[in-house]
Amino acid sequence: MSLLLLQDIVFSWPKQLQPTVQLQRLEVAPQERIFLRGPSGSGKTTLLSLMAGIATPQHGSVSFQNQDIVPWSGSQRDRWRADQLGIVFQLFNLLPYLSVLDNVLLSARFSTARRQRAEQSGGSARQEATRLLSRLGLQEALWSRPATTLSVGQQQRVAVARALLGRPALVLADEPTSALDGDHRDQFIQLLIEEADAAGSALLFVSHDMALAKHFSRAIDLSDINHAQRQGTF
Amino acid sequence: MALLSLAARSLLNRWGTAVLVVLSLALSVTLLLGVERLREQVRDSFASTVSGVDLIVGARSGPLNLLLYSVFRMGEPTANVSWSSVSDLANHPSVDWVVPLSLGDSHRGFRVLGTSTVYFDRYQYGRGQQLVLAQGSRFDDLFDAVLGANVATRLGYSIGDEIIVAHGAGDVSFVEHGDKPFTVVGILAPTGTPVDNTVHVSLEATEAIHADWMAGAPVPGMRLTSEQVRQRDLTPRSVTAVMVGLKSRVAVFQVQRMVNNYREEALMAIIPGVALHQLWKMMAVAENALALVAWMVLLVALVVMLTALLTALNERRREMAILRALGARSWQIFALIIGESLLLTLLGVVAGVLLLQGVSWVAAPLVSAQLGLALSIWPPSAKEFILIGIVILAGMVAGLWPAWRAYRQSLADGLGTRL
Ligand SMILES: Nc1ncnc2c1ncn2[C@@H]1O[C@H](COP(=O)(O)OP(=O)(O)OP(=O)(O)O)[C@@H](O)[C@H]1O
Ligand SMILES: [Mg+2]
Repeated sequence: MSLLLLQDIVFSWPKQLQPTVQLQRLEVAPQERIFLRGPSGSGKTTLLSLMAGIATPQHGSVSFQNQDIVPWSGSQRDRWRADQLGIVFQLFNLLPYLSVLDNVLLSARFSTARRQRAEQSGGSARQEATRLLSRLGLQEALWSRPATTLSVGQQQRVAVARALLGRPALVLADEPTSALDGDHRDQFIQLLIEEADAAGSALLFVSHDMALAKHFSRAIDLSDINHAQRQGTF
Repeated sequence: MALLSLAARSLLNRWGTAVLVVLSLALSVTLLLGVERLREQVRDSFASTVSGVDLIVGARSGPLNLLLYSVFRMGEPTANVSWSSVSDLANHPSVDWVVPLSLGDSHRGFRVLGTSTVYFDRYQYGRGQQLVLAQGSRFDDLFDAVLGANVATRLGYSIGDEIIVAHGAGDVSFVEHGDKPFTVVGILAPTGTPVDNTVHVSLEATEAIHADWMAGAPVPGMRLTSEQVRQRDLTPRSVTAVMVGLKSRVAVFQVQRMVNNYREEALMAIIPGVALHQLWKMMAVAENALALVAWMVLLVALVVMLTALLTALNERRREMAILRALGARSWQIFALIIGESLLLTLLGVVAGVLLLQGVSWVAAPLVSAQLGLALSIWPPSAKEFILIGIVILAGMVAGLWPAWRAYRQSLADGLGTRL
């Protein structure tokens, strides 16, 4: 059974004539580790928006555990996203006016299911959050600091802790390592994969950098599956 | 709720602009409510200054002029009413009582009112409240004086003190009746009316201090001592105005007509309530102009808030994207901005009301000292609550635009990092 299945997708952003994403089939199995690469502007982030239910395709289906989320109402998809997904951006993942710990706890604040799962594994959401932070190498002294006082590498690890809190079914990471140097990059991905394993989450990791593909069980080149791009290039 | 505390933390993070927005809203609320309060309070205290008086009679001039100088001690009388007219009036079958009023002298900026002791029985303010002596008694001897509450406290007088009355109403008097000092025999309890700012003496005393005067100046070479003056006939030659009470209010128009058509002298009778109404009509133009300015200032304050919200929206695009990724509904993004405009408006209203209370608190004693009118500070009137409601509503409506923009933006951005 697939966790997330995209079929016959056609998607174009408002006011754009050409579709940005046009693909026949993309499947994510439970607990799978997928590496997605593609040149800049090929529609990687757009694809993640579709998978997260933030954007909806004009045509095709996005099925989560055999349920098509496309016909759902916006707030149904929002609730589903809060319950089932963890998202890590390239940069600026954290709310600057919250502490590191409060930033991690945001996931539990927006979803009761996430909070309950976090309580199951950690006793309380707070304990689970601190456990994840420690596992990701962030010492206790940092937890109460404002999120913006951390280094970029530390901030990205906080974002991973938040994405994994409450064991989401799928983690989408959109070039989370692009601001890190080589050593940290590998270390970061190793931690990410370890914790995704521990949480039982599937992981879809986006990057330009082919060298990182070795950490993943499957690598996809978006240019191969996105037919929209072929029409777009000259 | 999770979102509410997030909104508060986010706003706190941008406290600098927030404070400025709240300040501009507060000032506009102060102005808006202040204008309204001024209007209401002035009306209330004017209206409660005189009650139980059916007619006020004076020399023929404008009704407002007569009302202002006889009751509010504002402005100057143009002419007098002769004593024979006063007697005629008192003898009219419909007339119950008359209280003659004689103005024109002052004591250190406070007006001196010559009247009869009937004044203390008949003059009423507020809802038929009577004058009460806080200390001492009414005037009895020729050179006795009864002080209004403000006069006593501001000048620090007590029973038995001697005071000297000056000619003319100004603060700085040139000619004093220094040879004929008065003794303070009574001090009235505060009333919140111009009575508080008045020195009361007998009509005869007013006559007496002017006995050696003619045409508004001392007669050269003719000085009468206090003792000599007591020997003379001190029936007043004329008074400034007369308050009239009727046996039955039904006769009010009839007596008014009678006075207005009086043959011996050009007189005029006004009904205090009707004259006040004329005063309101005259003041309405100025009040409306003030109110218009206040509304414009509110509009400016709302534009300031709108500018701040729209500017912040660009900085907060990232914040919205993070919240959306975490599962915040798009209506919650909308609510976040509306909530912020609501919070800012509420803070502005609270600060504005507090500021107004402060200003009223400082201004009330000044107004009381200057005009003898009492401003009440608490509680705000129903009209003020309505205005507050309108301001809050306007703040929310102003928030609709940025909220809608944030909502559209959060839908259009997707997961993209567009800055
Ligand atoms: N929110 C949006 N609204 C309109 N057009 C968009 C939006 N996001 C992306 N696009 C357009 O869609 C196309 C694909 O953009 P996308 O961000 O998905 O590429 P990407 O593969 O993630 O690129 P990069 O590697 O630079 O992040 C671009 O042409 C872009 O202009
Ligand atoms: Mg991208």
